[in-house]
Amino acid sequence: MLVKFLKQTWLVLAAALAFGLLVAAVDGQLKQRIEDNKIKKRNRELRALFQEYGATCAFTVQTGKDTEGKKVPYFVAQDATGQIVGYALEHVGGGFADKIVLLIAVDAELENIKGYAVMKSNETPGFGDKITGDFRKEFVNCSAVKLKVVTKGKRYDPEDDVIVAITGATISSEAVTKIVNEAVVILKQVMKTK
Amino acid sequence: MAETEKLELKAVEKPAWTGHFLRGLWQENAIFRQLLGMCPTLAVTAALKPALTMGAATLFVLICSNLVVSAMRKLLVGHLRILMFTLTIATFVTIADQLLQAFLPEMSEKLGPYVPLIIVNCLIIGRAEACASRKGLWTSFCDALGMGIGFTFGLCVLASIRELLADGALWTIRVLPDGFVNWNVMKLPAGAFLTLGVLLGVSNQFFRKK
Repeated sequence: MLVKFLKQTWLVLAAALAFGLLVAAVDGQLKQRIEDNKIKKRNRELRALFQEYGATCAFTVQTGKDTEGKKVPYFVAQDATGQIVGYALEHVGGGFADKIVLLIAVDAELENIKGYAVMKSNETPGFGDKITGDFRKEFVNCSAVKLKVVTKGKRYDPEDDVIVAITGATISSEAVTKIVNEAVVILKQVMKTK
Repeated sequence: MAETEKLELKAVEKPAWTGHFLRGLWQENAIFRQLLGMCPTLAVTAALKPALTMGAATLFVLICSNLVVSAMRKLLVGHLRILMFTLTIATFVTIADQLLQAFLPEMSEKLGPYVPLIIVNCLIIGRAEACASRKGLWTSFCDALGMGIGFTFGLCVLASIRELLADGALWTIRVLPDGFVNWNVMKLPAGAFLTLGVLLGVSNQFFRKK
């Protein structure tokens, strides 16, 4: 029985082994480069979020704990004098099409949101993918409180705590707002338990 | 006794490798003639850059999978050949995805899930079945090259039209005057279908006249 099975499937087993080794070899060669690309992108986005502090702004990764005791890595932004100017956190949430990964930045007092950067998103082209564009301005200098999404209102007004949704992409807008709200809550918890 | 008529069968000329290569470019073009690979055709042709990247990735997978399938064609058992094709194609798609993430990370992000979806592109498994599993290495390579270049050409034509009308640009460089009103529908799936439909009509008309 086994011999009959092997006679029929030896090629499949041999190919699976050979292809597996090939993929593993390629992965081994490229893994570091892929990781470096992710780090470069993250650093680029952090620099853009804290651009007012110039090129001398330094970022360090620290680990804190939320109220449930779960470890949370976050970024600390320090200016040239070493003073903390803000924090950033990478957070994931469900979008319209797929998960959305955002990098959210807040000021040092955790009172105002500095903005967010989209690290990963597969939202609908022409609609939801506008979360990478001018929609980001909605969050700049907003209070770090629970923000609400509305469909009509004054755009890019940091005085109110409402986010005017992208026309035709309310779900994507709500998803981003939810992710930002959750990230702010987590950062506040981490700072409390520090 | 009536003489029996003997039919002389004219020797059928087997197509040379050039035939395989040239047919893939236009006569049997994957997009305009065979309507294969419609998912990436409609999804990644909003701009020229991602379309060309997708075409290049598909060409790489086509060539590699055709060569490997051709190399093991004499060992393929009837009912396991589809499994072997899929295994081969999946391997090279994984490698293509890793290469994009490593060397073209922005394009990899833009293409998103459509790179792994190359595995289910009917063009690749179709060529493995129709050509690579029956012909030698050189013919299979030329077939893959022709089909891949033809597919890339189709993607680029579609993408050029869509990007030009949607953004007034080609390769993100503005080419139309500022007064041109962008056709936002061209960024959307509806625009993709419309453009593809028109191009299919033009290609059918061309072949009908021939």
